[in-house]
Amino acid sequence: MPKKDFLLTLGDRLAEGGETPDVALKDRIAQKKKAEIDRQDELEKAEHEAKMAELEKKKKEAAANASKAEERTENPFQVKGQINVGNIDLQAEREETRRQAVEAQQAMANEMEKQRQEAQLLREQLAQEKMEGLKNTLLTQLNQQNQQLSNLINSQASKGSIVDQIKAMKATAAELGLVDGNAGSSASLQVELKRLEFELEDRRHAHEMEILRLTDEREYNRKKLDLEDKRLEAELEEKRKSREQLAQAPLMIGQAIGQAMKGGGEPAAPTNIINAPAPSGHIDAPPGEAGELECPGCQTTMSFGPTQKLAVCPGCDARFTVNRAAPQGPPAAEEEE
Amino acid sequence: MSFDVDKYTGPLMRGVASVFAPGILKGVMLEHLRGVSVKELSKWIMEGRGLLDQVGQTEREKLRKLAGKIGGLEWLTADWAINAVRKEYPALASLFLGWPEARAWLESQALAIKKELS
Repeated sequence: MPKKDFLLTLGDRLAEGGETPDVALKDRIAQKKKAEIDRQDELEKAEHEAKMAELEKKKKEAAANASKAEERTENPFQVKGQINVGNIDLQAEREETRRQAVEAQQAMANEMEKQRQEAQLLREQLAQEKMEGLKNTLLTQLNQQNQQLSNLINSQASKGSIVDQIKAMKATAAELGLVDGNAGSSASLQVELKRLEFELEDRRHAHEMEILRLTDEREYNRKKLDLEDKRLEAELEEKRKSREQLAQAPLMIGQAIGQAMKGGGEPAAPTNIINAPAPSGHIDAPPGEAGELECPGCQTTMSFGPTQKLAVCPGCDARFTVNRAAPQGPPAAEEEE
Repeated sequence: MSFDVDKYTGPLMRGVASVFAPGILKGVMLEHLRGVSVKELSKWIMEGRGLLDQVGQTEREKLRKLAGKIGGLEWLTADWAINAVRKEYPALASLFLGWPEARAWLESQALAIKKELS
């Protein structure tokens, strides 16, 4: 197939199948080689058959000549009339025929040897071409891998492990025998390594600067949010105070009315302050006396009247029996329910 | 010292006064009980002395006028009165909570006030 047609076919295949160029090229080379081998085999077979037919023909001619000679030997001529056959040497003719047959066999053997040698040559050529194709494929793959490796190095450069990766690559190359295993022996490699280190340091510095910038920005935003929170809290507090003042308005009105209604007034008589109730839950008080005391549970001021038998705390609803017996009298009464 | 009902319940304040009536009455009651000791309140209870008896006729007339502007007094009960003074005067509230005679006196006062202001 001409190179132009091959390229057009390859382009069509790539456009239709979405194959990668390397795979398509590899397939195309293999198909081309296979077609070449098939064509060579067909040609070889056709030539072989033609030569075999020619040899068969010669063999038949030789056999026919030999049979004619024998017939001539076994069946004496019946000559009618007069004929001058000259000197006929049947022995010589037989020898000649045998010689020709031997020559034909020799030629056939030579031709077969020649065919064998040609086939061998073609096989060698085919093997060589296969090796060439394989070499090209491997070179293509190697170039692709080199490109991928370069991309990987570029992409990994900012992660801080490029030096380690280069060292690992160098060690691998040394194991493969591609370079000298002594690290640092190549000046250019050292320069490249230094360049990458500088680049890495530069990127690390830029990264740190970016982190600092983001930290500052975050701190600024946090302080801004704090200030905003404080401002909102102050606003809420202001509103709450306003609401409380508004809620207190009726109370204040009522107190103003109460003050007007009450006028002056005599100071209230003080109330007896009684000690806290005993742990048993009762209060000792003189008979007919009112009193105030502090709840032992919630420290709310509570009271009892002159005839009250049960005191109730308004804060925690605790209940205490009021013992009206004299201090020197009998024990306190039982707690009421 | 006297109070002018119209000062607090003018035409624009009538609706507000009806809503804030419990608060207003609570203020009146707190101010009336300011400085009253347990012993004095016990004396009032034992003697059956009414709260309205301590208000002059002129002031009672003004209170009636005020009540006419703030609407119904269904919420005025002994429990409401106890809760109204529970925080400011816990000793007095304790008296109403644990002394049956005091609670009965408070209920009678609530009824009397409602009757007076209705």
